[in-house]
Amino acid sequence: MEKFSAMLEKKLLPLANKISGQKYIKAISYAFMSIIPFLTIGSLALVLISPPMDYTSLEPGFVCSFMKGWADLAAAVRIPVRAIYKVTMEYMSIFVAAGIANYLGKHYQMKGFTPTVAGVVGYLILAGVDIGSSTTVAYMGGTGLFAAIFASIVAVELLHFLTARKVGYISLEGNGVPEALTESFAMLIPVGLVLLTMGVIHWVIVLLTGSTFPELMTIIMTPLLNATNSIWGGIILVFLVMTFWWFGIHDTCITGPMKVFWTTALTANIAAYTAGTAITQLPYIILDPFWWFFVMIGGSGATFGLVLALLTACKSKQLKTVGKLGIVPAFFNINEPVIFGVPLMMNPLMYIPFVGAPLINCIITYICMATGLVGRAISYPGWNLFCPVAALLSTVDIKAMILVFILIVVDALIYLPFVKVLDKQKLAEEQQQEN
Amino acid sequence: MKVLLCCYGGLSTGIMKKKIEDEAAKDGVNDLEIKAVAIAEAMDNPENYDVYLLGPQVRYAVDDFKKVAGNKPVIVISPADFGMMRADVVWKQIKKELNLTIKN
Repeated sequence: MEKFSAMLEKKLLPLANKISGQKYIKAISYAFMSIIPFLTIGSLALVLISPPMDYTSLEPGFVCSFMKGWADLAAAVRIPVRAIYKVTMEYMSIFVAAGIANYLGKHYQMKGFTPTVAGVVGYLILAGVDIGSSTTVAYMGGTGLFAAIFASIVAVELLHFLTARKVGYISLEGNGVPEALTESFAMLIPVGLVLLTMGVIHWVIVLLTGSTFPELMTIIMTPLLNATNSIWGGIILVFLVMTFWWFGIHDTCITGPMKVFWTTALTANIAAYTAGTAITQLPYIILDPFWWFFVMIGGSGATFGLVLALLTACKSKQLKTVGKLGIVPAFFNINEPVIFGVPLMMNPLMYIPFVGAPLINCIITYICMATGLVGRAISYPGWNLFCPVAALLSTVDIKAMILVFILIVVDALIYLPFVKVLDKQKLAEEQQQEN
Repeated sequence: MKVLLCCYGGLSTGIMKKKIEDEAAKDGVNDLEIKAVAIAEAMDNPENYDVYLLGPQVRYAVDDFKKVAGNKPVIVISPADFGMMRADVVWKQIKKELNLTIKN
């Protein structure tokens, strides 16, 4: 077993590093990470102005007064809070394009603000105008994400290609011209070529298909989005993400790109909810809140249950220490100490519950949401909130919170037998070392 | 001495940071300044540190850091040390890389 793990580590780690270090995956996931605070505040703003029940239809009592209080508060703060929610959600693709362009530019060690602006402007050329090139804001939100990713990558790649080869470099150096001016002249032709390229892409797509780039992407991606939103899509995704993590490839490698689908789905859910659809009837089930608050409770692998199992059932020094180190971070869904400490990674014994626990969570939650027992998500208040609370916030359904507590117990029971076997092994090792 | 300590979300390294500072204090090193950040943030301003410490979850980025680090050491914390939060081992690695001789 030890040898097998060592062999896996030697053979697979370089590959895992290569995939995680892929420049576009890095740029996309860093970009999404840096905009989390804005999306969190935007989500909370939406929840704040959207009381889940209409108090006028409720029997008088605590719930009714609570909902009335909520509705009054929502009405009072509606103007500023709605502005925050609208802008963070419905202009999101602009920040994403800026973020990706920024991090890809950093990857190429390009200086200054130009790559970021090139990414945003490139994106706006594809998604900020309609087929007649009049401005439109229809694809600034979740529906423009594919365009944001595509355009920012193409723009920065091209800019890098041109500047690295000094194509169209206008030199004004040595004539007493200020440096800032030299820089902006140097960028003039490369930037022109980048924008012209984006303009031509826009033009060609309109000519060939009669739609703009984001419209076309929506048509292509909708079947894919629907496929990933089935129970089988969920099961395959859990299986893939957890197997990759087990090999040492960080979960965000897959969930990062999935964010594009999930954010599009969240946007659709919000639109349906604000248009009056019931929380149990929203179009999509699998999105960020489903994944982070119901499936991956305590971090990828549903390790909250594991930490409970470690704390209650272990006698070996190592596992007890890991349990103690892991419990506080587990409340915030941080589980690297557990993944590396137990370890779960490349540990053949732990593969089964590492994949199994989130798989069971996924199936149970999907069934509960598909049958309307538990509400679906309308907001994503960030991944590092304690899952039961986050589940309540994202679905405004108290049953969601109860479900998460039940799932934690289920996960602990799934991990328990494996933890016991591991504990026995570690205990024997520790006693051997002492003698 | 400035140390950049980096993990994926910048949170699990927060625990490690505190523990390394405690270890350093035991050796009487009080000018240790550890910045624990998320990888995305670290890539924004990676210059001017004396030591670069990476959590095992971001070891894929080791080459990115070596590019900016110049001759400054880049250390990837081993999964076992990170999982068990063995700050004493990490602190020893830092001392070794910097040839710090600390008299007890």
